[in-house]
Amino acid sequence: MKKLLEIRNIETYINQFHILSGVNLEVIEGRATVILGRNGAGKTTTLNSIIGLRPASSGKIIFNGEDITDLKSFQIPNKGIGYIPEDRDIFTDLTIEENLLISSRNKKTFSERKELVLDLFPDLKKYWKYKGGVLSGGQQQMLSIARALINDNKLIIIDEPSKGLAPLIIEDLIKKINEIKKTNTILMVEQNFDMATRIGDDYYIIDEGKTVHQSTRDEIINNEDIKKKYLGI
Amino acid sequence: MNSRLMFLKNNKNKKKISIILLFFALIVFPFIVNSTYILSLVIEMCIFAIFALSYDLLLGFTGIVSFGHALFFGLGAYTTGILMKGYGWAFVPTLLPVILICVAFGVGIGAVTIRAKDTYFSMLTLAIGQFLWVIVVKSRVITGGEDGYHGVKLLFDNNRLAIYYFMIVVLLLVYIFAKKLINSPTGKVLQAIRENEDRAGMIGYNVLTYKILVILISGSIAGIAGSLYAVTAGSLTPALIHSNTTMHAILMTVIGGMGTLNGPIVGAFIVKTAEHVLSDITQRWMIIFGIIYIIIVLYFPGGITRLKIKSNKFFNKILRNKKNIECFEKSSEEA
Repeated sequence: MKKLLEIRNIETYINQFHILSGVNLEVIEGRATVILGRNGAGKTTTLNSIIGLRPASSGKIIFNGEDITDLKSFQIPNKGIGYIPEDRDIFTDLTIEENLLISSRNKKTFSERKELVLDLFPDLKKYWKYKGGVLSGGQQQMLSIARALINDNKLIIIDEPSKGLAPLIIEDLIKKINEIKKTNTILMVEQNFDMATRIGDDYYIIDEGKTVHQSTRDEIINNEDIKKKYLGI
Repeated sequence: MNSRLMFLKNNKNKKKISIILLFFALIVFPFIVNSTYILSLVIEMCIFAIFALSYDLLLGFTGIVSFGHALFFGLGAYTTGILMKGYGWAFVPTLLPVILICVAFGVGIGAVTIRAKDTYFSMLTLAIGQFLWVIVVKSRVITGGEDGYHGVKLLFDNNRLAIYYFMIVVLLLVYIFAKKLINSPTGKVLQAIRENEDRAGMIGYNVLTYKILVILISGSIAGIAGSLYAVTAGSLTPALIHSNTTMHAILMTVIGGMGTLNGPIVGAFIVKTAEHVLSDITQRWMIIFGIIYIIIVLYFPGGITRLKIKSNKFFNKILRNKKNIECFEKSSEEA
């Protein structure tokens, strides 16, 4: 099993605050890895360090055998990493088409990838010429995911996909992410334990900026102590 | 339905007809007004419309607030003025050095300031603009200092009718260029940067490069506007570089509507008309204008041109033209 992403003991500061103080994790190719943890544990900061938005001050981030720790945030997507932020961050003044077009790194394969994405999210086809700002929360989340899928990325990073969405839409989202999982490697942060366990294969728990637990799906579901201690459930 | 009515109801045809009517109106306008004063005013409006349009690329489409944009306008005006009067150049060849100088300044200013965020960036551009203003004031031998630089040869031997048509054509060309730019993939990236700089970086765009690019493009357009000013006014003063000139561009862009391209043109015409009309009524016309500006910012933050869009929507509703909206709502419910 190939390690697609490896994080070795990274430390990250935001201004004077020491947010990450020893995060370690591995993402295996073809699998879905989920990061769990309480609010403020450092989950999103870990993702931000991977994508270069909050560069790690020490430690190593190895992607596909290459050290990407010191790369700028705009260089990281070109390595084959797609990122879906927790607040979706779609461009509300641009249409769905424009959102996908500017996210596409290879204009030659755009039409082909577009068909693939629209098959997965037919709603986006309906509102193709609508501006992102008029879409509902669920549709914006679809667009945000579609932007990552418009490129042939090796790794898709998803930050709290269920945030702010209604239960019915979350159900649909779980199905879609499981579809994506069939062809992509996924690293996901998720607070919704039910959703996390219906998607993930491997699990890491981060607490107070450190990796404190690693397990498979069955282990985490059945380990009541860990769930109580680190997740409060 | 009558085929002629159908033709008029089609939005594309409506647009075509409006453009033809506007074009016709612009051609016959000088013969209707038959006034050199009004023609001169319209020429000035066109120059400031080009300047404001260049500012809209910065503020409206990329979200960059610069208080030093007038330095490009001044650079263009002084470069053309000095080359024409001092070295006997014709007008058109001076545009090349104007663009080159503006690009060089754009890259330099961009490289120095662009890493500064928001307010700090704006303050830095203000400082650089005012620094250049001081240099122009103090370089009496070259620029004439505070007395100004006079005697620049006027375009078409000051034939106002010819200048009027020339300005309309230049404004149209600049507008088409700006429209093509904002509809291009580069333009879409600029709009993405305006909305969310970090996110634009996260999808693989080097935000700093794009920001410098738009600074030098808008700077070059502002420089061309300055050149046009030099050959229509004939006299240049350091006030052209002062932050007050930038404030004019901001006023025109905000009043007309940021991020619209039509807005700054409409804004330039409103501000210049108000300036001339109100200054005839009272010397303190800026107070009245200030009040108008506050009302627009408070109640119509999208500017005058968006007000037109809003009123169109309103009338469309009245005429039961809600097909799109209903269709969207229906599909949303289904989803």
